[in-house]
Amino acid sequence: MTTCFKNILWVCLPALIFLLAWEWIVYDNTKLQFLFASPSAIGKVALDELSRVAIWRDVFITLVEAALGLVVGTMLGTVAGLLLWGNGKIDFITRPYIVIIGSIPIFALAPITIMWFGIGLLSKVVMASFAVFFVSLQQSYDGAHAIAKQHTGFAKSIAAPNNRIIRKIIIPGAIDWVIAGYKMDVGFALVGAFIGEFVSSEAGLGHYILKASSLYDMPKVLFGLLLISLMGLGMTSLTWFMRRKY
Amino acid sequence: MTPLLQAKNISKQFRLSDGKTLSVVDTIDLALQGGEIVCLLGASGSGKTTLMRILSGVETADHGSVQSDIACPGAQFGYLSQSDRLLPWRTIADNVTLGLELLGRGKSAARQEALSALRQVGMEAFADSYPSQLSGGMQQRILLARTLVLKPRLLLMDEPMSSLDVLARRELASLVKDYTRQQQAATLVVTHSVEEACFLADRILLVTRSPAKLYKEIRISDDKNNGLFRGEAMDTVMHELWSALGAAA
Repeated sequence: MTTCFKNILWVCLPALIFLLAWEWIVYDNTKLQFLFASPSAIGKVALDELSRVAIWRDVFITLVEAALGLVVGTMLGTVAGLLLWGNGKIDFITRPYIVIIGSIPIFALAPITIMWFGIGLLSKVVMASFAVFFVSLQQSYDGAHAIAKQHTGFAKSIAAPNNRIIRKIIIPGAIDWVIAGYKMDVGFALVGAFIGEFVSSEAGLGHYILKASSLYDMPKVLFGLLLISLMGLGMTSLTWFMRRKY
Repeated sequence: MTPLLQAKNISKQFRLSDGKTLSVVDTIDLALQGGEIVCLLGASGSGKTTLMRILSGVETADHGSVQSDIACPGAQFGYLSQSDRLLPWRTIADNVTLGLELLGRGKSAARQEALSALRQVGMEAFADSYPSQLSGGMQQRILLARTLVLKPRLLLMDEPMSSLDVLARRELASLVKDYTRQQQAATLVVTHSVEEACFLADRILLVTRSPAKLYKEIRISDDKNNGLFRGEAMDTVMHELWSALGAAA
């Protein structure tokens, strides 16, 4: 048996024990099954739902919302972080505003974005972008500061022009920091998209879970959560792949 | 002959958090001629790095002046500081081309020069590796290559060989010597190793423990150039250095 296979078995073991214990505890108890569902019931729902187009549509919509929010939020946040690093005066003036706006819980913004951008794709992308923006801003800002401190001594000693120092050292270094924080961004983007769907939407996994919970259909709710978790895992794995390649 | 770099009466103090002042460099005079290597020898924390930072223009002196025909900082100036690090996201070859790229050279032309510099420091085989794959000593060789590829006329190096093994130290010291002679560069090296100073230097400047003050200057260039600087002659100088170091501390 290869080490890799053994490792996978070790990782899966706690989940297997948890599922068996869960199934055993709720078995033959309708009250507990109503409150917590059971792995076998979720499995049945999964088999049933995955054969329908509707769930794939929901998955696709949430994925698009989160992915677009991730890309837009990361790009805008990175650029803003670099601009703030590059201009001390703007940084000084805007810092309190950034702290204040960044402290607003994403959930509190949901009704406003729905009013401004409607209940379609745009409002969810805005929510996901907003959630990611401040993390990326801080990552690129901190990254630029750290890189400037650690790696520009040589460039300055040869009197390299500032624009080349920024292009060749600061920006690539700050992007490296942003990619390092990407795992966190994936989570934030999913939370942003999900909350947007939860507050008001016509499709998506947030909508699916909301609809299922209003019908007290616990297996469906948990199946929806499982799909969101798998989506997060998939997007994070992509980050791992990017970093390895990088 | 006009020196490539002349420092006169350099002094530097730092203000401590309790309001007191700490004198780090005290009235140092120094001149570097083209084609010579000067080693600065002294105890740890004696102020040698601060002096190097002042000479390189990174730090300003409280008193005194530094004059040079070569702009510091500038394209003909090479400063290898203790805190220099390679860029982790660039390959070794790309790290060596960094200086050339920063000065406006095209990447492909710069790569050829970088490969030649890597060959000089014995690291050509690692051109496409990343810094994290290399040991500290190997990274130090790359930093030296990154500096020498720019062909600086004034070279300031702060403990450039501290993490190298004995053989690599000797190899790189020879490289620095050859470079200094061929390019008629002026080279100032901070080191803690008496043996390294004896092998490298034309002149050795001993500084006292903080504040760094010039304690003694030992010239060994004539014997070296005549090939006489070995055996007894070297032992005598090393003995003199060890005694002076003890007294300076």
